[in-house]
Amino acid sequence: MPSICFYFQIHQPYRVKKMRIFDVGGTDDYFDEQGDTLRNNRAIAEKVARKSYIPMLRTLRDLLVQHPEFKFTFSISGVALQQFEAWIPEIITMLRDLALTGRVEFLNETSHHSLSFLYSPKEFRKQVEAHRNHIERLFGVTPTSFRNTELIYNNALAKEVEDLGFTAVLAEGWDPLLGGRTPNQAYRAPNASRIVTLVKNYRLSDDIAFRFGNRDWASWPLTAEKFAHWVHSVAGSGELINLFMDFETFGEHQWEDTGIFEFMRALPGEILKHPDFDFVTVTEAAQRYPVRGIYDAHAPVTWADTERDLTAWMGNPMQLEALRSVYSLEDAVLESGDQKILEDWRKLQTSDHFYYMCTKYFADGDVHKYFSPYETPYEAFVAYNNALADLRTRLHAHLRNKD
Amino acid sequence: MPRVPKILMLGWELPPHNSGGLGVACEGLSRGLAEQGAQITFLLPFYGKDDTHGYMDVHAMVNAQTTDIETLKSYARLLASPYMSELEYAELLERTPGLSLYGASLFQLVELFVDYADRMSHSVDFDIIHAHDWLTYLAGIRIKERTGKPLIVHVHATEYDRTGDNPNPKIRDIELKGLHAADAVITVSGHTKRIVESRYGIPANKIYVVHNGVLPVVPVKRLPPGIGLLRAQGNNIVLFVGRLTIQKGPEYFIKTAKRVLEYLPKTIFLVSGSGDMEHQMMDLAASLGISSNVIFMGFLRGGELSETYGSADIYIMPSVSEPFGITALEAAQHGAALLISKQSGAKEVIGGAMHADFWDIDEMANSVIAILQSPGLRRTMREHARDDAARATWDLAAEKTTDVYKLFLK
Repeated sequence: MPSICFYFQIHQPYRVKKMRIFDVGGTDDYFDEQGDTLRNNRAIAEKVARKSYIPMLRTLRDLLVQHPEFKFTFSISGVALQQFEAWIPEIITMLRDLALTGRVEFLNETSHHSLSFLYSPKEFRKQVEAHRNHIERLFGVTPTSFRNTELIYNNALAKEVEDLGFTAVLAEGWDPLLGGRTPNQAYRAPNASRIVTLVKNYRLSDDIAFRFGNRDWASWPLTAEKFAHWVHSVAGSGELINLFMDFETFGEHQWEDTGIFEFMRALPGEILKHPDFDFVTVTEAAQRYPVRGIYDAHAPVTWADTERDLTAWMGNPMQLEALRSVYSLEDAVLESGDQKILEDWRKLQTSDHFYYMCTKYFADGDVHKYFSPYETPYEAFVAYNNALADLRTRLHAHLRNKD
Repeated sequence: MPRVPKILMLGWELPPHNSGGLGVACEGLSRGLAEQGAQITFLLPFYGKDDTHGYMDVHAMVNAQTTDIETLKSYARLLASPYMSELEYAELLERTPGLSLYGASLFQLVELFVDYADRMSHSVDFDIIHAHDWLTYLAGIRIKERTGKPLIVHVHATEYDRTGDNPNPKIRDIELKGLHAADAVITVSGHTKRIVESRYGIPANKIYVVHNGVLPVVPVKRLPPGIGLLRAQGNNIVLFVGRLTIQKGPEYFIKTAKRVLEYLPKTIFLVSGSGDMEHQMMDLAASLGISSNVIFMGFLRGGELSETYGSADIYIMPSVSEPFGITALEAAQHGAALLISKQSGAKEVIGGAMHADFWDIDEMANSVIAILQSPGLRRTMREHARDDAARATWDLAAEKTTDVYKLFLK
């Protein structure tokens, strides 16, 4: 009986305001840009909530009522949850209602959507724990499976989160690693003994997430019936279809007028028309389906770009410098014992900051391929670097006062 | 087989007797066009005896009969001075006895060139007239009226750019005539296209953007002696290259220097170029108390200029209005990180640069300080700017120009 495993990612970073060197030492809020800019975090969260989160949460709630077989999984970054709690508590309420159905799983990730796994194992574990506590506090459930920031995954990550006790971990289903095998079955890392690796079926996922509204696409317009037919055709060659995507797909990346909400409203019904198909959450999938092969990822694989590597965050010298700088403060931040400093330092670890500094596609003159709230990647770096400089002055002041 | 376009080009200067970017651009573009098969006859006021532009047929109103370099320089300065104000021109004329036979004013010289070019064009076979900047527009119009051949005017700069929004009405009038008489207008950037549209009322569909290119260079490793010493003492080097005129915004460079020095006192600001604001800029540096960190190097060219570019951590182009800004590409070729004004055409072809409004001293200082303090940022910017400069070729500019020619070739 083949299953569909939907996982939706919800994340909003705290974008760094336009900080100049002259602001260093004169502010202790790096994320409070006001006015009509792309860095006004509250305005952006509210806009995305209106266009995407709230209508899609309603859609999902209706689907759970309509189809008792329907299930899905969320992963929600801690920084997104913080923003909802502060500015859009309605979303927390809606998520809590979904959690109460018992048919919605919440994954564990790092609290600050960080790259800490690559830079500090100690910090990584703390953020995983902080995120688990956050989910427990808000939704009354304890996460049992894990997804890392941007689906960054390798064998070492699988082992690390196996040791932390998780049942399943998510990864991109990347062709060079699958080597001709289907993504539609459960895998295991070569160095792991219990944890199950579920890999994204990126073709079917991206048909919804990227191509849905593209009128130049041969399969446009994509109907629920057509998509269900593609899914059904997997029967016989696979048992688990992992559809992983950003929650913002619905209403933000694909606007309402593309018909994306109607599509999702109809999709579970169309899939369930085939009596052999059903839905599972991530942990259920790992428990139900036996591991069929080894997924051997030495180098990190991610769900970003055509390369599926780390270069969107770690591709140029200034990104690497920024990452080294922020993680070099770890000991001093912990030593300070100051909770506000600790929280600001963690907010500066969010992967988006480094993504905004990406220059990968500048070489092609395709400046707009990457979305960024800054005019140039350099401007993103400068604002970030000045925030770090300010954090350093606060650390110095704090340590001096202690002496 | 498309036929070879035969172009009658009207210009004002060619290297080495050029006073700025106009001559460089005319040479680069003509060479690129010639390599793609165009047959070019280039008319200009002055041509040195030993000048070599063998890829085209060059004729000049004055052919220097001497190889004496000082005399050549005097001629060149007098005749090839598209950037000189009317007043500066008159002053130069006064200071240079024996050279008055070429005209008592810049405008008379322009008129002389109209007659000369018109006369010459009788014996030239051409399909299209291609006139570079206002000094040649009247000649272009005269030849178009007589022959009925299509006229393309090429805007390297407008009077609004040169004067900081305070145009000489006579020059503006000539520009207006040329732009309206033209069958097509080429501008060196989208920035200039917008000025031609808004200030001269030319419809957008008559204007074609052809960004300038830059000739490839092998960066020199050697530093100018004094600068090498300053570097060795641990100083950062920030560079300005350009005429010291209102258009290039040198005062914003000096004011930015003041702000940067409050944070990074071991920084040297180099000013390469001369012009009517030179003394004013020296006074400004002195009154801000930063004279010991600002070095005025005078007008540099060739190897000296290359070495100076090569010494710079950052090149700043704070132009008030910069139609293109070829120096930004040159600086990038030599490995400088770039900070260029938003009011520039170069911004359109260099992704690997920081941008600021020319008047935003704090923003410029903020960028300079960040670049000087972060090796990662510096390296990333240098690499990308260098790639951008490598892609900006005269071949590409010639291809786009040929596309414009094709509109008029039957």
